Amino acid sequence: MNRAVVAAGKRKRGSEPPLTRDEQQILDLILSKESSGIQPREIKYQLKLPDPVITKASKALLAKNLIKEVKGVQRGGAARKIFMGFNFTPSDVVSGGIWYDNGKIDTEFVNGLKMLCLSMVRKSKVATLEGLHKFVNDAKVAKVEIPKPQMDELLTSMVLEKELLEVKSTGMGVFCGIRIGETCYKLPAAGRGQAKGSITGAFASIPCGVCPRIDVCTPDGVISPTTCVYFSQWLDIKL
Amino acid sequence: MVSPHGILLAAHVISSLYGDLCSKVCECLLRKGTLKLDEIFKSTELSKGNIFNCLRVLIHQNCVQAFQLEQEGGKALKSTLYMVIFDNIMHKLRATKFMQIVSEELGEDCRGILVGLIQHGRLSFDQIIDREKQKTGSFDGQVVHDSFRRLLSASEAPSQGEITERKTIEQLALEAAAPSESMRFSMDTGDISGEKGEESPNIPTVGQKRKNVVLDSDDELSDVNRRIEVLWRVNFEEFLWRLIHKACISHVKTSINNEASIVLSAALDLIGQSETRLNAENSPNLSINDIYEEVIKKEGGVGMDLDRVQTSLEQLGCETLATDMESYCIDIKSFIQMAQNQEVESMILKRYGKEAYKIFRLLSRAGRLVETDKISDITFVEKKETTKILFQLWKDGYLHMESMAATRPPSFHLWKVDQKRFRAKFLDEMYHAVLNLKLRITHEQDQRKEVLQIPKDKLVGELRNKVMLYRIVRATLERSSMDLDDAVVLFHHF
Repeated sequence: MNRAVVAAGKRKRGSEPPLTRDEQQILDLILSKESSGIQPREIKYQLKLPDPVITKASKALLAKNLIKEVKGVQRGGAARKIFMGFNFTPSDVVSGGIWYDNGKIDTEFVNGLKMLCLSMVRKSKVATLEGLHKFVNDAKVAKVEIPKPQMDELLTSMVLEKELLEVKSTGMGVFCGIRIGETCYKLPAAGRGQAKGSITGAFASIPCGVCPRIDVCTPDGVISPTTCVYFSQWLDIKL
Repeated sequence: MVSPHGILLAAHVISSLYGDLCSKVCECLLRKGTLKLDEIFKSTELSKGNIFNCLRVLIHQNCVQAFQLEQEGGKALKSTLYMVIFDNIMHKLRATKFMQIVSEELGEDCRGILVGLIQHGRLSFDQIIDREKQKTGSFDGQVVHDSFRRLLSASEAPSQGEITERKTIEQLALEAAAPSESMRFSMDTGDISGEKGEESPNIPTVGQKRKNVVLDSDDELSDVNRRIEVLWRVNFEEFLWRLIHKACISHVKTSINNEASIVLSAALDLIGQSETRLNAENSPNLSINDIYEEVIKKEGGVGMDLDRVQTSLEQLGCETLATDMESYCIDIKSFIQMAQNQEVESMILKRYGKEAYKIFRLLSRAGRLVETDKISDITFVEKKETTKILFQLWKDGYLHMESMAATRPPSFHLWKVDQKRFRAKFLDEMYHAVLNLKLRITHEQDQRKEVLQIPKDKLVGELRNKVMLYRIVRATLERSSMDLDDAVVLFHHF
């Protein structure tokens, strides 16, 4: 419990109305969770208080700047409203870590870092996790230092998008100076337009390959190759 | 077991080539497996006469194999079993490709012989000669003989190692039907033997002792097999190897560059010439000098030096041996895998979008169950969107899902790509797409039946445009069908 806040709450009694029993109970519980915070339904579950009481009390506490509302990272698709002591910084579990801003992925920040990584790999032909980690932190683009595990996450994401290729060092050629077997990153071997899965396979090149209704398509059915609108559009060739 | 759309496609192929009755018999065998004649009769409700004739055609065209089972104690069963050879039906779709390969590599004379074998299923050498006589006004027996030898030489497959896994009765039947490896491509000066459809005059027998026993068959189908003369058929295995070769090279050309594709082509040619055939478990080793000598023979390869060949090998991901820095390990399976991944991933990307593409690649690489939130974190996709995509992919049969009950809700879900199930589904969808293309070609033709019957000299203005348009549409559909079939080969045989 943050004694400074509790003490401040007590000192304020002279100027502001004192906290009600419910408000104090809820405040104590919220402060006990420190940087993890607590969801309203969890408060209800633990204190067995009805919803209107919790709502009223939390509004009062918010107004007095004793607690704050934080948008937690959505888990399983459900939005999370979290209450936390005013002076606490949300933990990574709540905020989602350095990649999240206000409960959503900070795409501008992530994309900026990706461009930085690509520029380094383009220049050096091949790079290791350590090399990229140092390069990005030395560039000081982020307010905080990016931890190595998060750097690894970023590079994995780039590999999944085919912006980078993950290879093992052979110790020779471009890998000279890198320990044999160490994981390295390089640009995809092809030229422009070859990354990011843009080479279309034979199946994806025809309407059936991209059709969301292929499972219900039958030769004589309502959806069939002879009646298919996607086919008609695809074959709508103008002389 | 053949997938549902594989069956429909095979039935369509047989129907378009040999008629609806043959298609019905074929479909019955595909759906119900190996059957006796009586069982086919009950299932199809066709007359026995019709079934006989259909089976004769299908056997002659190498689409069905007849065999008899040997009972324990050595006494053979009287009745004959019939099994459909799905792969050979699919090869009917690839006839154009096979002809093109032979035309490019061996010339038009050889192509002519191959066309006959494809059309007729199996021919004796005399029949091949007769066919050539009828075809061309000027007949040169020596040319036919030489062309035949060249086809045979190109077909030689080195003997394969023992397959140690347990074989099905059907596999044993196919083996019993074929001559021994040493005889398959042998060519003596008198009576030419070689890649034979049926060397033995008998229906092959499969049983505990694997003896070939002369049997009096209760049907006339044994007549097909009772001919004393040797029959020849197309060696599909060799053509398959070449199609796979082409598919891998094509993939490397688009995904890496032209030089890498030339180097790979040279390496695969070397592998094809050696004793080691395409085997998923083998990764043959080749020396850089051998590869280089093969590269400079190729169009576009003559200007390449050793350094560029080495660079291409590195781009291909070929590693040198620890014991010999001049030798490279050519992992054929990895190229096939890359080509397969390209097909799958581009479908996922186009059908479900970029986020789904990343998620699918993650799960494919992971090869194990991964929790929803972890997927979201690694792929940088919002949690809600991740859940939506995962459920959509799971609903469409591309992912496997397991639920874990937590002490308090919500429970969480684990996801993975079940490769076996996924590949089966993907292959079935490709068969479905090939069938759709074929049906659409027929539909387009039917729509313009009247216009297509008009003589060329009467095609003017709008009519001429309609015919031109039809030709473009047909060419588009057929080219797509051929390209898609290349992918089918990669998935079906590996």
